[in-house]
Amino acid sequence: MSDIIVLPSHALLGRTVDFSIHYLKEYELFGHKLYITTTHVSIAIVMLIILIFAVCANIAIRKADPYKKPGKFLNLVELLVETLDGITINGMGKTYGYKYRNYIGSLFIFLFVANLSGLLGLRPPTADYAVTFSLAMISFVIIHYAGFKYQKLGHITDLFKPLLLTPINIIGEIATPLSMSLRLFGNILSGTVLMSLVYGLLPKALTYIVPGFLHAYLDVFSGVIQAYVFTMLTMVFTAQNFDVEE
Amino acid sequence: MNSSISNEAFVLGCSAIGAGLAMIAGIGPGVGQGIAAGQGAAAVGRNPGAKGTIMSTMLLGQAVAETTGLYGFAVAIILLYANPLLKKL
Amino acid sequence: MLNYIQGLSTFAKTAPLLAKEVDDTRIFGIDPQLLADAAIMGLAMMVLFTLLSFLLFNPARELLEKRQQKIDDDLKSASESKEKMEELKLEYNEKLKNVDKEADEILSESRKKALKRENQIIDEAKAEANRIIVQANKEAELEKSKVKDEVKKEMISIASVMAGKFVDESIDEKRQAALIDETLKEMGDSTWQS
Repeated sequence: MSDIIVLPSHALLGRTVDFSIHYLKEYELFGHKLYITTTHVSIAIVMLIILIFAVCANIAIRKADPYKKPGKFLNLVELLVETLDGITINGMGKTYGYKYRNYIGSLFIFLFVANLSGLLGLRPPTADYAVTFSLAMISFVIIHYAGFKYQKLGHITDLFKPLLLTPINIIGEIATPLSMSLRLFGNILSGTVLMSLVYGLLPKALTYIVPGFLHAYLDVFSGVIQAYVFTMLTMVFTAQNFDVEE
Repeated sequence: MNSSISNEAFVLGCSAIGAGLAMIAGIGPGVGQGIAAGQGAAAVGRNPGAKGTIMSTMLLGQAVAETTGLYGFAVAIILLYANPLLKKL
Repeated sequence: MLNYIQGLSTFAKTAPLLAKEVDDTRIFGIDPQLLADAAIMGLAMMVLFTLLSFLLFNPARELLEKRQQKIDDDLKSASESKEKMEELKLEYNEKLKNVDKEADEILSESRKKALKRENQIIDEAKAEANRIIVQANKEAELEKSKVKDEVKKEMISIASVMAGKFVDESIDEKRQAALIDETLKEMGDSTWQS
């Protein structure tokens, strides 16, 4: 099979290291051969997890009496929503921040679960550049929508402010989504590569003990930090277009 | 001797060396993150009350500083797995 | 070294290092697949955003708002009733302070009233007594005049008897009547009048 890299070293004892995206099913669109990949399966599983949680939360909320003490699950849901709202309001200010809290919350929840899905044995969806690129493009659209909405034409004229630096300004604007997406992609992919190398190199018996620490750092710590950073940068870049000083 | 090395192998070997060199970019973020962490520790020492704010600011700055290292990583990955030079042969 | 490079070369032909040779794996590539995957992810994110807003964020926020509203209302009503209590307490304290005064007032008022009533009763009693006395006097007078009349009549009869005896033989009846009248006149003028 060509989808599995057999490293040419005797040290590996014939073990395999696999961290690539696999093609599962071919389809054709606009004359291009395209594939359903494992990333799509991971995205579907992550979304399924989130939506099951959301449906459970919705049922709990509907059943809940607002005039009574909330149960444990409802408490968790409320804590989550309040925390996400708090993060959004903190990052974007009170005046316009509340308009973006649903998207920021969804983004954070998705990134959080996606980055942690390595723990479930999935290949994290965020280790595919297409996913992070897509999210960064959505952030890009939101950033410039806010820019045109709150600064009107000034959003364009700001690019030419020091006339000499116009190219740098334009490159800087374009670099924003690229750096955001590459940062997330690189972090999660490096984690995935390291994990699969460790799993491939270690003797089988040791793989039940040693990678625990690496999982804790590469998947949990790094993943949560990167999810926070991605949402934080989206908020910061969007909020700098608001015409109010907080 | 020349006949024994195919063009692909040469490009691939050089790409592997280039990928290794690209990962030297990891030095910069390492130093930068270390400095940020040191400053963060000093700030917590001066003002232990603001530990939460300092921590989140430090992590955010470190994550942004990590970008250059990740550019190097992206270059290495591209050289190894999506090599644009091979298409030019 | 040469052997290693040659080995790498044969490895390159079988291993998926080349994007164009790879059929069923990928790590990174800028191609139509990237765009298609990005579009799919964008759609998925939109769906996730819509569903999460609909299922999780908005209802949870509504619930929190409702609870906040309820807590606010409770606090408001609590502070209101506390204020009211405070007011009532103040009122009671004032009332308690004024109670002595009021009691004095009431006592003096009732005393005054009692005095008034006493005086009234005494006056009434006096008037009654006066009335009774007047009545008694009147009755006594009446009795007196009655007795007088009787005594007069008796006297008259006695006098007439006596006079009859006196002038039994010497005076006739005409004379007798004149005498009686004379006598009566004398009596009426001075003797029996008083």
